[in-house]
Amino acid sequence: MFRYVIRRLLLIIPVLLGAIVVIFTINYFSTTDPAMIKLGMQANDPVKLAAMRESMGLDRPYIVQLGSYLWGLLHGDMGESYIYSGQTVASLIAARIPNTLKISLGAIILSTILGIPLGLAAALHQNTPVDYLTSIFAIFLNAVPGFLVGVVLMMVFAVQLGWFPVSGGGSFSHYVLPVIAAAVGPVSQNSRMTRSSVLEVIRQDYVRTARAKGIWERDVTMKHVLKNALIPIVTMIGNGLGSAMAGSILVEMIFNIPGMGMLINSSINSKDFITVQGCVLVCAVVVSVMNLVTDLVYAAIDPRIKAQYAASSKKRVKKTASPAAQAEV
Amino acid sequence: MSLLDIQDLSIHFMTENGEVKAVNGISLHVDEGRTLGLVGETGAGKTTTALGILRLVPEPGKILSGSITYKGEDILTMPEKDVQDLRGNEISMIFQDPMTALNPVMTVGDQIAEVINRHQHCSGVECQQRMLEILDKVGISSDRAKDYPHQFSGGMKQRIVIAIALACNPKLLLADEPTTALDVTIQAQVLRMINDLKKELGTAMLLITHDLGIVAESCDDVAIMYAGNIIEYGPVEAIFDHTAHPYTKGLFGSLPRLDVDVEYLSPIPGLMPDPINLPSGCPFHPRCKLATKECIETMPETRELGPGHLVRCHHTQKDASPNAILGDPDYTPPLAMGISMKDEEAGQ
Repeated sequence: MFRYVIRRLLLIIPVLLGAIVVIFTINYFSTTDPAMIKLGMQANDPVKLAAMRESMGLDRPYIVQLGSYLWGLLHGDMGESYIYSGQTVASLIAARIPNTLKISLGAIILSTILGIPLGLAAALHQNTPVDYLTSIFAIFLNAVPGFLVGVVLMMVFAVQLGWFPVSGGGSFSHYVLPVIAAAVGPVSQNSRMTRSSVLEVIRQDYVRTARAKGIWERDVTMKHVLKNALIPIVTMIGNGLGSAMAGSILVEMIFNIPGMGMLINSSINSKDFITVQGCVLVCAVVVSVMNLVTDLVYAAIDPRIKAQYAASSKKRVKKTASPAAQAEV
Repeated sequence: MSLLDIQDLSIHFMTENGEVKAVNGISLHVDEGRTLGLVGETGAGKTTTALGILRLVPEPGKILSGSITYKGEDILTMPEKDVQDLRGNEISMIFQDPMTALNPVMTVGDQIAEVINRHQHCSGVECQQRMLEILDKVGISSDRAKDYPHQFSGGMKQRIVIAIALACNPKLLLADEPTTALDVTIQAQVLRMINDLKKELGTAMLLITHDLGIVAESCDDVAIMYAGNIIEYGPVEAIFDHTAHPYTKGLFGSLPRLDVDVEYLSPIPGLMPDPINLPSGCPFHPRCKLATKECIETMPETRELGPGHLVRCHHTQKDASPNAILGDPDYTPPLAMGISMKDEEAGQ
C-alpha cells in the first residue's frame, strides 16, 4: 500500500509537467507581449521596451524560456506578476487560495452531508412521495445555475433580511452564502448518484442474506447497503473538487471574495499570463492530490481494490527480481 | 405437532405484465430433526416458498393467503420484530449462489460474528470465540476469519454461508439449492457437511433441489412442486418406489440410468407454463400423455395413496401399482435405477 502511494505521488509529476508545458506554450504563442504589459504607458519607448524584453528573457528561444521557467519552479519561484509590480505570483496565490479552498471544500462537505442522506431516503422509499419530492428537489437544483442561486441568496438573506454580509471575505458568516451557492449543483448530483447506487445495491443477494440473518433494518442499511453503495459516490465526490474550484470563479465574483477565481479572472483580463500559469499549476496540483486521496479512500472502503493495488506492486517486485533470478540460473 | 406447518400458502407477484402466480395454495410440514426435499424445475416456486417462510418475499411479491405455523405461532401474523428475532436464529437459510450471497466489503469473520452478536447477546470476545468455533466446524482455518469473500473459492464461500446459517444453532434450516453453484467434486463434500452438522445440531431442514440423487441421499420426505402446486408429496421411499404422478415419473425418466443402455434420455416434452397464464385444470395437462377432458377442466383433488403419500392427479387409483397407473410397459420404477441408497436400505 505504501509503495502504491509513492508510485502515485511520482505519477503526479508528469501530469503537472504536461499541464505546465501546455499552458506555457499557449501563452508563448499569444500575440501579446508581456514586456509591453509590464511597462504599461512607457511601452511606447522602443529602447525601454527592448531593455525590458532582454531583462525578462523574452528575446531568448522558446525552449530556453520554458527551461528557465521550469528551473524557477523547481526552486519554488513561480515568477513575478506583470501587473502587480514587485509581487511574486506565489505570494498572490498564497494570499488567495485559502478563500477558494474554504468555499470549495465547504461546498463538497455540505453537498456530501446533504446529498447522501437525501439520495438514501429517496432510494429506501422508492416510488413514494418521499422519493418524488427529493427527486424533484434534486432536478430543480441541478437545473438552476449556481450563480443565479448566489444572486437570489444574496438578495434574500443578505440584502432583505440582513442575516449575512453581502460580500467580501474574512469571517465565517462571509462564507455561508457562497458555500451554499457553490454546493447547489453537487448536492443534486450526489443525491441522484446515491439514489441509483443504493437502489442497485439493495437488490443484491448479500442484502437479502443480511435480512435473513435477522439483522436490524438500520444495520442492514448502514453496514451492508450504504458501505457498498458508497464506492461510486466517493469517486464522484473526489472528482467534484475540480469542478468545485472552477465553479468558485463565478461564486467569488458574485460575492466579491478575493480568491483564486477572482485572481484568474483578473489576470486573464489584464493579460498577466505568468499569474494565469501559476494558478493553473496550483489547480492541477490540488486536483491531482485530491484524486490520489479519492483512490485511497476507495481502497479503504473496498478490499477488492486494495488487493489489486497490493497485487500490482507485488508484480512489480517480481518483475524487477526476475532478471536477477534468471542471471543466477 | 410439526415444527413447521404450512397450510394453503399462496404467493403472487403483482408485476406490470400481470399477476405472476408463483405459489398456489401449497400445504406441507417439516417435523423436528427431519428433512423435507422440495423438488421441481426452475420457476416452480421453490425459492419463493422458502423466502415466504422467512417473510422475505421481495417486492412486488404478496403473500395472499394461507398460514405458516412455526412452533404453533403463525409467522405471517407476527409483528416484524418477532420475525427478525426468528431469522438467522431459529430459522436460517442457505442461499443458492455463494458468489453473491456474501457482503464483499466485510470480512467473513465479521459476517459470521454479526449474526451471533445479534441473537446470542454475547460480548465481543465470546462472540469472536463462537465465530472461530463455527468456522472450524465448516472446515475453514481460523486465521482466515479476517479475509474478505473475494479471497475464497466458491466451495469455501458456500461453507461460510453455511457457517452463517448454522451459527446460532437453528431449529430449522432452509437450504436453497446449496450445491447447485458448485463443482461436482465439491457438491458431495458440502452436502455431506450439511448433513453431518444437521445431525449434530438436530436441525430440521427444508432442502430445495432439482437433483433427485441428492433427495435420495439426504431427505426423509419429498414434495414435488410444479407451477406453484405440490403435485406429489410423501415419504422418500413412497415417492421413489410408488411414483404416482406423471410429472414425477417424467423427472425420473429424465435421469440417466446405469442399468439400461439407451441412446437418448426421455425428458418431459414442453416447458413449464408461464406463471402469469397458468393452464386451466391441472397445470401439467399440456405436457401430460394421460391428459383427458377432466384434466383440462378441473384441478384434481389431493388423494392419499399410501400412508402420508399424497398426489394430485385424476389418473391415480388408491390401490394402483406404478406400472398399472402409467400403463407404460417401458416404465421401470426408480428402485431399479440404482440411484437411491435409501431405497436399498429400505428394501433390506
